[in-house]
Amino acid sequence: MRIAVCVKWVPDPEYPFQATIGGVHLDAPGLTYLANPLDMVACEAGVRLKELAGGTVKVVTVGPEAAESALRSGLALGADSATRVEFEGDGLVAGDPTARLLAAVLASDPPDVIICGARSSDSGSGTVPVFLAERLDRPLVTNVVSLSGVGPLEVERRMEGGRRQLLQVHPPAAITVEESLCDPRYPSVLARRKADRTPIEVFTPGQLGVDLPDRSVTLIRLQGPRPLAARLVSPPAGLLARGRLAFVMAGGPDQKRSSRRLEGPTPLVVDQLLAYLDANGVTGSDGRRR
Amino acid sequence: MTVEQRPHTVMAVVESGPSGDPSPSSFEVLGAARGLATGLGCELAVAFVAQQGAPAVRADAHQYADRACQIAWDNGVEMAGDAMVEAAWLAVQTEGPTAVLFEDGLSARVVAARLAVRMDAELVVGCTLLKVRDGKVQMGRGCLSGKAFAQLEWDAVRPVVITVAPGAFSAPSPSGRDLEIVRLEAPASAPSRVTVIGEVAPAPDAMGVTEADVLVAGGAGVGGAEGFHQLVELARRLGGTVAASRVAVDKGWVQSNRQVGLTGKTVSPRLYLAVGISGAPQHIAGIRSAGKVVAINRDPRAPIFRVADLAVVGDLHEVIPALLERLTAADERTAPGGMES
Repeated sequence: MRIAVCVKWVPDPEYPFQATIGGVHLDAPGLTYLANPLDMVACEAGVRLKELAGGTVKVVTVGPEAAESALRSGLALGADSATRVEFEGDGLVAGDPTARLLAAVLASDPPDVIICGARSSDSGSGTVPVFLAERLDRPLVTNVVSLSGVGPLEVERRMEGGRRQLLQVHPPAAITVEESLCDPRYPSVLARRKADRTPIEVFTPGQLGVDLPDRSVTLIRLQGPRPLAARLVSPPAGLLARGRLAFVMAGGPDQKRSSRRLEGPTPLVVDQLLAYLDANGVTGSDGRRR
Repeated sequence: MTVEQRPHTVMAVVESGPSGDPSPSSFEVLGAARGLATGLGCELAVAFVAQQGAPAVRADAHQYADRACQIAWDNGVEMAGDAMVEAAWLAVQTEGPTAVLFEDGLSARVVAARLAVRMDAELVVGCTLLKVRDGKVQMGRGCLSGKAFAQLEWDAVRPVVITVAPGAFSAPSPSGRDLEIVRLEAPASAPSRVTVIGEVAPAPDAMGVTEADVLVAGGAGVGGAEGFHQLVELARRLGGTVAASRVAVDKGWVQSNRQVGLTGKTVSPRLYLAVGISGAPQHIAGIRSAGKVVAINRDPRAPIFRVADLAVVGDLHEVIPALLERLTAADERTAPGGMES
């Protein structure tokens, strides 16, 4: 099985950005860059798949020469080869060109399975894998938390509401992985040294025949976080200080709920409680979740 | 089929839920879209997408737009996402919008991104700021794991697809005009290349409090870490996870990332089961947007009962074990040999 893993070179997510940003570029003192942590999970997943099914793992990135260190992190985890596409664009808004370049480089040598991190730690939008799968016309399963099987891949994905869905997909396919899928191994010194010696294949957009369109959306400024404003409520004047304080802390008046009260012997209460959960679709009539 | 080009139309794609009502946050999408349309001096179209057979959209829902269409997709579709893309694409071909807005979410992002590729449009996800200044549109979104905010500018030339973060915009006021809702049928999407085997119930500890549909929350009344084992078991049976009040976290019964309230997390599950929680204002602040609240407490005057839909006055140490017993019995009745998957 031929596996391709897409990695992104990102600013260290642990860095305390708040104090230093202002302007368009991140030129914070002492800021280091590394491979996007979720992409390392993707590498580990790729290498485990290779160990199970045989084949090769290729790591691919789009970025400047320095981004090759992200490829070397992937090689150290056990990838066999590495490819970089030259691109100098701000990683915070480069989803569209990145996907075009990745699609071009992967189409020239199509892998069976493409694995990406579910999102990058800097931009965090998770759209490159979707763009990529759409451009390569591949089925895509996002937010994978568990992966098994080889012929058809058997995957479990995270959905809204904390639900998990079990799916089967036949290669050629693409998946994006979540942190809980697996822990990237800690590479040995030997593996690191081997990774450092592995040659990296480099392409320019021109060599791939990709003509990047002019951007219509551009980054104009980075600033400190802007948390969403909480709704402000002013307590009624008639309340005592204690009441006003409670009102403000609870974020407004208590919602008027048509409260029903259950009292009495426990078995009776539990009966009605179950009926209530049932009526609200939490438990099925068989006591299971619908 | 010719696509009628309206050079400046803003379109909001709203999924109407099982009841036919768009969710409260879809009205925020309409609010954001209305703001953009007004700023650009163009019309607002709304596309309601729903599974076929879903009830009609709430009567006044279309009054927030200048044009409205409703698109139904076939019931037999395995991957709802595929059908959503086809439905949204049909709406785009009908309206020819410059900007398309969705409500942000895990699956909505995928739909928005796939649509953006088809439209050859730019994509901005998780947008929390949207305003028009001098013919250009300023947008903003959190980045760097929430440690920074990126201001973006769209020149309003190449089309754009935007997903709107919930809680960032307010709902618009209805125009009061009655519009005709154009009903369209989405073409069948190509057979899905992904097979859905089913849903599995995840273990409660693998689920975060903000993502879960059902939360079983414990407070001081639970009495200790052992008491929480029962709540975990209950959460597992209800397909949810465990949360806690500050007291329970301070006492070390539960990890702090499960704390709900002013100093913890704000949650919006479908069901919030408050067990042995008295309901301090600081705690109630975290469950304002919860669906149904069920409270179990020994004290008939506990403040939590004031915000509860169902108030169970009783000792949780009797009610919870009895509830678990009943759920177990029901399980055994339906699946004696564990044959059901």
